Amino acid sequence: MTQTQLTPTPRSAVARAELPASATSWATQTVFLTGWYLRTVRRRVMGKVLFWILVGIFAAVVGLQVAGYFIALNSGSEGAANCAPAPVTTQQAGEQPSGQPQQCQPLSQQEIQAAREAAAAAIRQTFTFPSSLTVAGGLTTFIGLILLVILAGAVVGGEYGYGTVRVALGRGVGRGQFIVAQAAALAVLALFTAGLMVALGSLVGATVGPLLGATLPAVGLEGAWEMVLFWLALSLNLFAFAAIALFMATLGRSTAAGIGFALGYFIFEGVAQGIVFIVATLLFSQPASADFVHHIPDWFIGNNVAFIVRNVSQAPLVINGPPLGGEAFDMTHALLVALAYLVVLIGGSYLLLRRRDVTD
Amino acid sequence: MNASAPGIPASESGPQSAAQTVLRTAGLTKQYGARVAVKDLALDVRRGDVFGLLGPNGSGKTTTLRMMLGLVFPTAGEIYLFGEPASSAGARAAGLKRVGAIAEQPAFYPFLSGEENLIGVAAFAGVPVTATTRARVREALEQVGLGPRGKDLYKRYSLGMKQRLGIAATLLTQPELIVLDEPTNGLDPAGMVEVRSLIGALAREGVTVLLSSHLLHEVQQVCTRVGILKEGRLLAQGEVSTLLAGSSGLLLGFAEAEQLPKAAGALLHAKEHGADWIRDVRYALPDPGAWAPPGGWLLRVDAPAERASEVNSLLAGYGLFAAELRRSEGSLEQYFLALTGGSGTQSGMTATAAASVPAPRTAGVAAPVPATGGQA
Repeated sequence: MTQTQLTPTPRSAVARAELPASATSWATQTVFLTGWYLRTVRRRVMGKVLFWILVGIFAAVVGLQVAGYFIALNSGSEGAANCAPAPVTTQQAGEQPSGQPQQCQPLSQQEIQAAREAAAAAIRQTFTFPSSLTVAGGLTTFIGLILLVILAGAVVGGEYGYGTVRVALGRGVGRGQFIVAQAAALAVLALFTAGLMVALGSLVGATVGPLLGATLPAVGLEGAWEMVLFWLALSLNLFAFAAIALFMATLGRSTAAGIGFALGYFIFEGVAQGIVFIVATLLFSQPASADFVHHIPDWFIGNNVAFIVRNVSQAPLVINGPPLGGEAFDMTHALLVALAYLVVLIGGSYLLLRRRDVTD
Repeated sequence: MNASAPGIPASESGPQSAAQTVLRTAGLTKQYGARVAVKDLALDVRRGDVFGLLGPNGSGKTTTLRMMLGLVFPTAGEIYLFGEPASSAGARAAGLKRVGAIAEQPAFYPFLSGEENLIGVAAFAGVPVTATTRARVREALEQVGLGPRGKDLYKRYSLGMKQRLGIAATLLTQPELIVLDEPTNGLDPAGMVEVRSLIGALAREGVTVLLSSHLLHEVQQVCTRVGILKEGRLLAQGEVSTLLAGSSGLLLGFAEAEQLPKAAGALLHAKEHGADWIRDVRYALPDPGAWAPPGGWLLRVDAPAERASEVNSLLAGYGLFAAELRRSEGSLEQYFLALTGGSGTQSGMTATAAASVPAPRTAGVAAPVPATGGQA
């Protein structure tokens, strides 16, 4: 026990500050709650660490790209590196290898310089807008996703772990409000994470690349709109997996359940696609079955949100190339599947909590 | 309930207007599979009460509090908060806005300071975070003596400080009903006294307090009314003073051990021959540290204290003279143990003796044998 003493001061003598009136509307209180959860994220050491991990990894990737650019620009000016195989003629191609040393045909200094510059320019393009967004987007949907899932599991599972769910519900927070506020906080975090990466990608692309001689394309209104859509699509990608963490943390009433299952599912999708491909191939004698199996991944949440990201970032700015192919669905399908998953995951979280006795 | 155990039936409660009733339960039942945690509970907490919810471990106290706070859903029955049924989520939420509660152990975010945690409690209550909210948070911390430590992280708090923060959280929104579950857990003796003082101050301000506690002497000191639970059932509830009124009596000590059974026989004889104001005669152990007669036993006469001189005269008629004769106020502990059939010797009178040890029927018979449990 510390030396701190509880002073039994009469309440009226102490309580001079009147609290502002409580929110009476469901929505307003839910907004307050959402704000509170975001505040807890900001105050968590974990939140800060994950933030800097993401920024650090992005900075490291950009740093490697810039280093690669300079290495390419100044690479080998002597020895074998400056040699190129002698031109192969039709006649020589038909002959058996003679065992003689390879003939190098030295390039001229101009050719060497041009090759270096071409290689360097190709690398420079990766950190120049809009290709810089491709890198930022890729990091967001991989590293960003993993980090956000960790945070989501901690935020939702922490309520059960710390017992603060009892405090919230005991103060009159509705169970629906509780889930909606958590989901809203995760949505804001997804928007923030994706927004941060799009902003960093744009910033790097608009400064570092041009500083090293790259030229920027005109963005225009359509380009700006594409960037907004790209940001929203990335956010959806993140939020989908955060929603899995929300559901599983609610189901398991723990942080570990939320993080473990959401990351497990992220890995599972990749593995499952390979397995599905193999099974579909093995079923070549039964075309109907093979076709059915082949299209199972079309219903995976990860595939659909990834499709949306690619689909919204192709033109006029070429952030991502066209869809990889193989998907037998379109944007409507992808949006509907993503929406259905979110409804099931968030609605399911509410249904789990709605009639549950909170005893821990 | 023991026939000799004084008390008020569980159904005690006169007509109360809705305005006077802060919390009421009717037929409240909670069942976990085949196990009944709370059965047909009819509690009645009135405005201004400091209401103690008592019961042995597993009697259903915490389940009852959880149901009141909307954490656990009743299997049957109804809870009325401030006169309104709290069965719907909206009504429950509206009622709980007027309640400040610690359910079980205080629960806070370990990575936040005490001050920030209370801001969170305000957010849960739907209160916007403004300068006034912060000022009120600091006041609540001052109120429980945590002012200087408000900016420390919760995870750095001692158990007692955590308990204080829990109490501050209940005070924060200046609720009409405060629910405290074992509020002095983890506090040192000085802290316990301070909490009792705080509860008293709150009661004087008109705040209704509902507390559950195992510390019966503590409950007796601060509570105006109590409800006693056992195995999920309400055995009794009522004003503490009323419940204990029938349990006051007289304690007699004799300088010679052999006089004790003689005196017991004499008093029982008198009881059977007209002295019907003698309710019971039992052996009792003295309070720890108090004077102990030869043989170690006292005689407890359940009779109005104002009959002391008559008891003295009656014994004198038999040539028996008490070396000590004093009033024995009934304690909640004795009452509780008698009612719940528990055991213990905490206040000097063995509980089992108080509850079930038969008094000697005739003088000189069934001399008390000091033994564990106080069986005579």
